[in-house]
Amino acid sequence: MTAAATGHKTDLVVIGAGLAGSTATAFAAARGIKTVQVGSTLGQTLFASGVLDLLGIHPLSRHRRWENPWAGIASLINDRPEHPYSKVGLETIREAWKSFLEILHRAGLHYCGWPERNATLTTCAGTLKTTYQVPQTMWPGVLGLKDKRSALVIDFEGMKEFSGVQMVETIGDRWPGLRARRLKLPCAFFGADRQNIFLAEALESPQVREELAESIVPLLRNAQLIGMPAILGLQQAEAVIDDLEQKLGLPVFEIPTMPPSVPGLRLKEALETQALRGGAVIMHGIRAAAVKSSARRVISVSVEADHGRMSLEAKGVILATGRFLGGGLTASRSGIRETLLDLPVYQPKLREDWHHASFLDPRGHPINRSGVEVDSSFRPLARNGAVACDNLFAAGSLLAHQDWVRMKCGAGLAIATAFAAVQSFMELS
Amino acid sequence: MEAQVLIIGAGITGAGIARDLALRGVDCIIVEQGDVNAGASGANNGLLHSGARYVATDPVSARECRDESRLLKSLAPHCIEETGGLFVAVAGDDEAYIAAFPLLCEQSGLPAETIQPRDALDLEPALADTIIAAYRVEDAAINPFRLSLETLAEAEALGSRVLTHTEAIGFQLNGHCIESVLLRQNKSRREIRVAAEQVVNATGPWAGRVAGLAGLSVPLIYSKGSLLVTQTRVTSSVINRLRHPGDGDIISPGGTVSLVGTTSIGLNSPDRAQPTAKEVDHLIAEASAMAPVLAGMRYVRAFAGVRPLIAAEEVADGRSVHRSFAVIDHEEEGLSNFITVTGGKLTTFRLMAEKAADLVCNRLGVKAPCRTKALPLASTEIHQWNEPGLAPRMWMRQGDRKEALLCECEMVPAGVVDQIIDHASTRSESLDFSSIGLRSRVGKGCCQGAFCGFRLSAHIYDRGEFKSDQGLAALRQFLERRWHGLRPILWGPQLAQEELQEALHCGLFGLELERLP
Repeated sequence: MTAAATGHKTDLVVIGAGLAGSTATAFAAARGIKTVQVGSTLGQTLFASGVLDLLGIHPLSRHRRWENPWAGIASLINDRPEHPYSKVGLETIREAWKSFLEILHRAGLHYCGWPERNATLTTCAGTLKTTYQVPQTMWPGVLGLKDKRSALVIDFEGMKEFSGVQMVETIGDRWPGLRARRLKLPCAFFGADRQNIFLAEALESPQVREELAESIVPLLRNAQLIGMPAILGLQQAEAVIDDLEQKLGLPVFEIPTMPPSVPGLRLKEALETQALRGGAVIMHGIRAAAVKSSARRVISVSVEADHGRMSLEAKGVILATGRFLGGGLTASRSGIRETLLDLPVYQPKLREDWHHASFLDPRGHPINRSGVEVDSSFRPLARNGAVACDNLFAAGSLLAHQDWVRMKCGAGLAIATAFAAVQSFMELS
Repeated sequence: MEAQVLIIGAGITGAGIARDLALRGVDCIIVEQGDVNAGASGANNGLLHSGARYVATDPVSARECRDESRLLKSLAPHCIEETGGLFVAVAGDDEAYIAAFPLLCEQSGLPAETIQPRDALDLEPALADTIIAAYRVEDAAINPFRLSLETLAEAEALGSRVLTHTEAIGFQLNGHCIESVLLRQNKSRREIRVAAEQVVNATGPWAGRVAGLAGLSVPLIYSKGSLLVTQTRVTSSVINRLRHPGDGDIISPGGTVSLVGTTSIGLNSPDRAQPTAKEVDHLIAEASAMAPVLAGMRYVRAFAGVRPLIAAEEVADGRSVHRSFAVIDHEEEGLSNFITVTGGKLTTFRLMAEKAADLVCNRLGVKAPCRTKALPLASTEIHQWNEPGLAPRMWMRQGDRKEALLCECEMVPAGVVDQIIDHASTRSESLDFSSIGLRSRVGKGCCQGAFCGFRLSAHIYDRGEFKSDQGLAALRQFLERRWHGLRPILWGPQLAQEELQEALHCGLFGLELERLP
C-alpha cells in the first residue's frame, strides 16, 4: 500500500472475512455494487465444517428439534421478534438461501439436501449432526446413513483428530454396517502430524489417488460405499471424488473433520471467486482500524496492515466482524464491547451470568445471545436507541438475540442477514 | 482383601503414611474415592513453605515448615524447584508488620535477607514499583502431583496396594474394633470388603464424613481457597505479600505458569467447591498490587480446594484457626484401631505421616523406626511426565518428530500418553481423561481440552480400549470438569477460545444433544 492508494473510493466496504462477510461481498458484487472486503483473519469458515445449518432447534428451553427448518423458522419468527431471522422474514430468508446456492453453483461448488427437510450426517466423532444442506461430496454419506448401507470408513495415519474406529464404535448401533480401516497416504511428509490442508493438496495428484485406490480395493468386501475424512482435494474435490469413485466402482463420501476444515475453505474460495468475478476487491490480512462518521453517516473506513494504512471512502459499510473469536466483540472482566465503533452491546448485567454452571447446558449460555442490536434494516442502534449511522449495517454472528451454535442456524444466520444488509444498503444508501 | 493397615485417602497425607509404614515393613491398602490428590492436595498453590508466612500467626508451624522444607529439598529434589522467595510490601501496607517481620523470622530461626526495593525489581521485574520493603526467604515451588505419585509408587514397590476410584462406604464394627471396611468401586459399583488391623482416615476435608461411618465425629471447619493459573509464568521466585496473611497475597511459580492465590471462604460442605467470578476479581485486585501485570494477564483456569481446619476454637476468619495438623486417636471415643489424620500443610506432610505411622506401629507392635527422615524419595520414569516442560524437551530431542503431539498446548506426545495408559491398565485403573492429565499435563494449556480431549478420545479408540460411546462419555466428563475452572476466567482471548470450543463440541459434534446420560 502506498500513499497514492489513500482515499480509495468505493460504494460498499464489507468488514469481516467470515461466512457473513464473504457472503455479503458476493451478494453485493453479484448486484453490481462496487465492493471492497477487508478482513484481518482467514475468516472463521476455516473453523466451520462446511455444512450449512438453517435451523435445528427452537426453542432452546424446550429443546424442540425441527425436521422441517422452514417450519421451525416460522415458529421462531412468531415467538422471537428480536431474533435476526424475524427481522429478515421467512420469504427473504428463502430468497437469500436460493441466491447463495446459485452463487456457489456458478463457482462450481454444489450442495445437496432435501427441499423442506433437514438432513442428518455422521461427524468424525461418530455423532449425528442435523443440518440443512451438505456439500455434494458428503451427500452419499447422508443417504448411506439413512438406508444403513454397509460402508467402509478409511482414515489416514497421522490424522490425530480423525479416528474411523471411534466413528464406527460410537455410531455403531445406529449405523450397523460400518467398519473402519487405517491407511497410509502414499506421499512424503515431515514429522508425524498430517494437516488437513496438506493431505487435501496431496490428493489432487492423480498418482497419489491411483495408489490410494489400489490399497483400498482389497479392503472393500461387501462395502456399498466408502467414507473418508473431508480432505479429498482442495478446489477439485468433486473431480477428485469422481475419479476415486470410478477407480473403486463405489460411491465415495466425505466426513466432516475438526478444523482447519477443507470444505470450509472450499466454501470461502467459491464465494471469493464469485465476488472477484463481480468486480469486488478483496483485501486479505487487512485490518479495519477505524470507521469515520459525521452527521450520522459513515464516511470512510481506515484500514491497516503491517506495511501501512489507507482510507476507504464508502457510501455504506457492512460490519460482519463476528464475535469473540472473529474479533467483532471483546470482553473484559467488566463487560462486553464492540471493537470497531464501540457500539452498545446487548449483554447480561453481571459476568457471573454469562455462562451456566454446565458447559453442555442445553439452554445455551446467556452470553451467546449478546451482541449488537439492529433496526429492521440491520442498522446498529446507538445508546439512545436510534440508528447509529444511516449507512452502517451489521450481519452475521455479531448480532444480538441469537445462539447460532445451539439453535443450529449458523450458516442461515450469516446468509440471511448478509442478504438483508446488502438489500438495505441498496435501498438506503 | 486383607492388610495390616487400611488407609482411606490418597492425598499427600495418605500417601505419606503409606510410604512411611511400608518402609517399616507394614502392609497397607490405600483407597481413594477419586484419583490421587483429588482433594486439597491437588488444589493448592504448590508452595514449599520456608515458614516465613507463619512467623506472626503460628511460630510452631513456622519452625516445622523450616525443618521439613529443608528436608524435602534434600530428599525429593525432583519434585521441587528451588526458586527462593520474596516477601514484599507495597505502599500502604501495615508498617508495624513490616518492621516486626525480620525479628519474627529471627525468633523462629528463619533466614530473611533484607533486599532494597530497587534490587527486588531487578530480581523480579514483574513486581510493582510501589514496593517499599522486601525480604528474601527460602520458599520454593513443589509439584504436589509428582510428590504424591512418587510417594505412593514407593509404597507400592514395597508391597502396598492402591485402589483409586474406590470409596469407603461402611465399617463393620465388633465391640471396640473396626473388623472390616466395605468399599465400593465407582465405575463397576462392585463392593469389596477389606479386613485390617488398623484403619487410618486421611481424607482431609472429608474426615468428618468418614469418621461418621463409624459413628464418630471430627469437628472440622471447611474453608474454600481459590486460585488462578496464568498463561505464562510471571515471576521466577515465590512472591508473598509482606502483611498479615490474607487473600490474594501469594504468587507462586508452577513450572511454565504462575498460581495466584488464595481466598478463604467458609463452606458448609466439603463437596463441589468451585471458584467464582467474584473470587477471581478479588484475587486479581489483591495480587496485582504486588505484580501489576496480573491485572491484564491471560488466565487459563481457576480452581478451588477445601482446607480442612480443625475446629479448635470458633473464629470467623478461617485463616486464624490454627493450621497445624491433628492425629486423632479415636480410642477414647471407643474405637481402638481407628485414627484420623487431618489438617496440616503440604510442606509438613512427612512429619504428619511420621506421627501417624508412629501411633499405628505402636499399636501393631512394630518396632522399626521411621526412615523417611533420611531416605531419599525415588524418582520413577512413569511419574515424571507431569513436570512442566519435560515432555516438550524430550519430544524436541527426537530429530524426526515422528511422534504426534496429542496435546499441542503442553506438547505431550502420544508415546507419553501410551506409557500412562499402559501403566494404568496394568493396575486396572479407570481411563478418564483427567487422570491422564494429572499424570501428563494433557489439557492444562490454553485449549483446556477442546482439541486434546478429542485427540485423546480418538487415540484411545485407536488403541482398542474404548468401545461403543465410552470415548464420548469420557470427553463430555472431561469438558465439564475443565469447565468448572474455565467459567470464572472467561474474558479476553480465553473467551474467544471458549467460543471455538463450543462451536466444535456443540456446533459440529452436538455433544449437548447426543446420548445424554
